[in-house]
Amino acid sequence: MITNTAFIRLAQIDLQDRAFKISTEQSLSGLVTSIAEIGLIHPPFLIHRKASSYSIVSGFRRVQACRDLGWSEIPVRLLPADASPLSVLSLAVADNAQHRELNLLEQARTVEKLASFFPSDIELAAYSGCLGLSFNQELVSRLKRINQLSSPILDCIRRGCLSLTIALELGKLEVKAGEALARLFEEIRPTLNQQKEICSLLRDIACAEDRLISDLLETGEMHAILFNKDYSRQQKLKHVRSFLHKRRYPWMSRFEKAFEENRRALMLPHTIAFKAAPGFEAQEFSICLSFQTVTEFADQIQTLERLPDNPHFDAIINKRFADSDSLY
Amino acid sequence: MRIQTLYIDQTVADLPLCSAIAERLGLTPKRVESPETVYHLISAASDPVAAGKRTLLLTRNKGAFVRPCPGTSYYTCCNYMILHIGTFCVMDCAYCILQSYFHPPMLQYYVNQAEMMAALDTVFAERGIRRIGTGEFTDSLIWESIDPISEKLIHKFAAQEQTILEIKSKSVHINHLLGLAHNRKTIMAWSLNTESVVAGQERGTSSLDARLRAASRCQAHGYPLAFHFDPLIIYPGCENDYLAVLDRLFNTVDPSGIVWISLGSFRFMPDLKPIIESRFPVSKIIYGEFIKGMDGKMRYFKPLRMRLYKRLAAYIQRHAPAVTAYFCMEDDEAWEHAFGFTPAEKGGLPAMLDRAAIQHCGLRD
Ligand code: SF4
Repeated sequence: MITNTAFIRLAQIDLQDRAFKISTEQSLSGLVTSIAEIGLIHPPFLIHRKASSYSIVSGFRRVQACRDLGWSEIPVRLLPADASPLSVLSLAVADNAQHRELNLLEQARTVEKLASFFPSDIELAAYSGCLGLSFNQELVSRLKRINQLSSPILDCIRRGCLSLTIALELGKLEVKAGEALARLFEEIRPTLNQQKEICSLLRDIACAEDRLISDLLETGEMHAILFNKDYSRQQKLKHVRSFLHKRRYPWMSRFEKAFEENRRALMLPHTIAFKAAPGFEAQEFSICLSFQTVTEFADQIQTLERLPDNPHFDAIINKRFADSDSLY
Repeated sequence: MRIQTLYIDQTVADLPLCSAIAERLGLTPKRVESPETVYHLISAASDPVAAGKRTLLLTRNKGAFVRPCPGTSYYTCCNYMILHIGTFCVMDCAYCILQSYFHPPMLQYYVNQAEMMAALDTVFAERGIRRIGTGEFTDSLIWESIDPISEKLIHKFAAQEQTILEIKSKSVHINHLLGLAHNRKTIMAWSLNTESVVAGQERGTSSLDARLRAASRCQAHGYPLAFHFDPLIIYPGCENDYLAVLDRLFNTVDPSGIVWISLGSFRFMPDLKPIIESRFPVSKIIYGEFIKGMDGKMRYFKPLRMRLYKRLAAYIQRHAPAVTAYFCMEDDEAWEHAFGFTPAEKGGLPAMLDRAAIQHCGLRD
């Protein structure tokens, strides 16, 4: 597209027209200093859309920074007034995407603005390649859903606390629950897998107990964890996961606890790792020895030889735990 | 659930059975060049499972008619054979694994029955006891109103001595089967569950009472019987509920005529969970305490299912000691715990079931 370089008075630029705005960055601090010191190296793109004013296509922060510096006019690159809306929008996207990676919200904004030009996600995805983006159909449809999320969740995404997957998961929940979980994740910062686990446990518990997730997050037990001043962030995370696991799997949790107590009562050194099969499904148990010398090895063998006489070992192997006897 | 649309695969359209079925259904069939046309229509529906239950395709079974039951190596399998008469079901159980087993799930009925009968002849010509059932990929009795397939099979099996047919169902279309000369080579079997599971999770099935009454009538006509407590669903109070069903069973039919009773707890591939959640929003069965089993299926936490098994096994052993009770897909630990022995001690599960079939059905090797 051919552009003309011109000088335009800042008063003629419509800052409210955000039709082409892609960037979510608000801060101007570094930019103002840089323009003051070095000048405006890259003039913004503008288009004459309305009779009396110009719309910004790309360079919203640059225009604002120049205003803050008290400039009255700035150099700009003017797009032809009759340029097609899609080509103007494409320039706005490409100008952003060529300089840096667009964040999730900017990608979502891009999809939202482009959507009116393409009848299907697959066509939009194909076109995104021309703009330096590599969206696929699935991503386009997910990004569209981002735009429907409530502002507290969008704020968390902006602050980098939520991934696209989890944000969309939260979007499927009742609004109050989604927002509460977004805040919770921001506070205790679980990994992506832990976030998925917490969402899935909460959903299952809520369905099983016919309760709202937001109510579950308000229970006394959750409050006792989250408002405990003595807990670090990691401790809060650990206790939240443990609380939800116990609530979702009460029998399993009791069984695991009984196993753990008996295993501890065996007083095995840390060089002997004694494990049950995952979920206690297979009948096998495993013991793994770590040693460096023949003497250490001999000591461990002696410890193992005493195990069959230990009532805790018997309880483990036969899965007969006092607390969960009624299970077997 | 009613069949609303009938498709006929072009390659079988000239078989007289197709027009007979169309007439019985009162539907004008639509011919399709290939089953894929129908698969695409079903897949595109908002609820493909429900659409698959309303749409019937009469087609040819291009694969084997007699197949081994798909067991897995870790859990003990009974070496059952499946006679593949059709797929899917018009009833609608929340826990039905067929909802995620077929892609897409769809009613198909195989009308190339001459080939099926030939496949059975091949099986009958081989040496050895065989147990064959029609109720694995479909319900055995749902097809009777459009084609009395069970009647044909009962005749077929009655004429040989080493293979039994098991007809397994949750429905009671048995009137036309009662007077047949079955020669005890057909076992009439029903899946049983507690009243609350039948009412809450089994849409469109016959009531528990109706199933037990049907079993009793079959027994009065000399049929050997079998019962399947599968899937056992664990919920508060389930143990007593299952014992009550056993009690009703033994009060309704004579246990001496029961060839076997199987026990199997609810297990499912993980991809069934979202289907149940969306199709049965009030069902709670997927919120049990499940772990991923050795075969990748979700299973109840083992101590929980072993507790239920133990009580049911003890009850069966006390009230019907001669009946062969067995687990469908469990390991030695579960067997030992509930029955006090492992299948290997009795020659293996297939041998146990073969012996029961020989004894009740007069099979000869
Ligand atoms: S009766 Fe059997 S095949 Fe039919 S829906 Fe129920 S579980 Fe599935």
